[in-house]
Amino acid sequence: MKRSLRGAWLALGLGLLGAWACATGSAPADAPGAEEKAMASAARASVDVFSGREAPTWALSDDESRALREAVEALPEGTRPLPDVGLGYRGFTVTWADGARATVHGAVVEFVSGGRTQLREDAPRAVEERLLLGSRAHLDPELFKAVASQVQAAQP
Amino acid sequence: MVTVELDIFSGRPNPRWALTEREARQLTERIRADPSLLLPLDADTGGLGYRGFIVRAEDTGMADDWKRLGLPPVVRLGGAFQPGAAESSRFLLHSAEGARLDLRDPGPVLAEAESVILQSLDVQGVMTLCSPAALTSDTDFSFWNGAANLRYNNCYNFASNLRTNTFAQPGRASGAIYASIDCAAVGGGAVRDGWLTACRADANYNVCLVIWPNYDYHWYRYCANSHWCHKPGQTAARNYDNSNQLILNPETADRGGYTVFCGYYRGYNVTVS
Repeated sequence: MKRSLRGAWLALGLGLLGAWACATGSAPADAPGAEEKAMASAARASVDVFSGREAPTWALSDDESRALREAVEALPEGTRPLPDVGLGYRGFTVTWADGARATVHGAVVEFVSGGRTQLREDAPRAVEERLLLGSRAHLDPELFKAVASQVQAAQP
Repeated sequence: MVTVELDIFSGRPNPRWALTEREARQLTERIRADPSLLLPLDADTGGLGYRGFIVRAEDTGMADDWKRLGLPPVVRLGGAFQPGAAESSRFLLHSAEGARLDLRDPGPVLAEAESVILQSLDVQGVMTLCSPAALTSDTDFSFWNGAANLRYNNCYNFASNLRTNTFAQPGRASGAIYASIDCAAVGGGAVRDGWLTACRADANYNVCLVIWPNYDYHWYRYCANSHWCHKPGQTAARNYDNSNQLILNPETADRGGYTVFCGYYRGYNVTVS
């Protein structure tokens, strides 16, 4: 619910921005431009590991958000879909402010952007590892250990 | 010598230790008082995690007394579904504390076993299905799995058959959400929402609660064709377990890390949020 509202808000904001730029015939001023850049790079990550409780989520820094987006977009296309795990660790999800979303489990990345869903292959499992390491600061230590061990045990 | 093996691991060898003479004598007294404590080796005492104890009478000493009582040389005692053996199970568990175990991490292992033993005391008996049972399809989950609803309803929504799109939490609707992750707290929250342990006369959703100790809870609901169905978090509702097997009995299905089986609840027109 919250995500789709934010996405709609952003679309409205960017739309108005574009309209304003067209009307004045000049590039947007610095302040709206900087804000736009910040919104595009801000992202949230979550680990899908619970069934009853909500998934733990945390904000990513601008740098981390941009780096992950680049890493995901650089991945080659894949054919394997996300596995149907059931109970337990099912992957990390990153949602960017522009509405794009990537879910990663092992070497599989599902990237949803602009209404399209693409499967990507991350053989070295680098994206997952990066998200796992980044989650450590945001998870209770025992939970982090449990997630880490399930990540390690996840079938490639 | 009477030795005890804590049946708890899947990959690692189970920890084993010998009882002192006094402990062995106390154990035989307990068994003499209640022979039903003992189970055959192939009894169903749990899946992943704590499955009770295996007791062996080897060589001489107390083993002689054991054999004189007519007890088999190797037996099971206690397990995930044996609340009647809870007291004796705790006794055996405590005997591990004085012994030298070949374990790097005895603390958490013994604590896990104790947690399951204690929680088995809350089990609402063996699987009894209340009728009339309110059933939904065990194959058609379109009500839950469409894009508009999939990510916003969890296992508790599914168990209640109430699609609130709020990722419902036990107790929240009554203003008192569960305060910890264990059978008593989460089950208590469910009871405040309207779930019962006794059967209802008009209609019953038959559900059961399981726990991943300290971390999370999960619910299953009895659906059509004698199957149990469930919805793991924001993923699709389904009728199979973590091993892709149809669920005929949630007590023995593959539940991943949700090793503690709390028991059965019944309800209809409960309120969840």
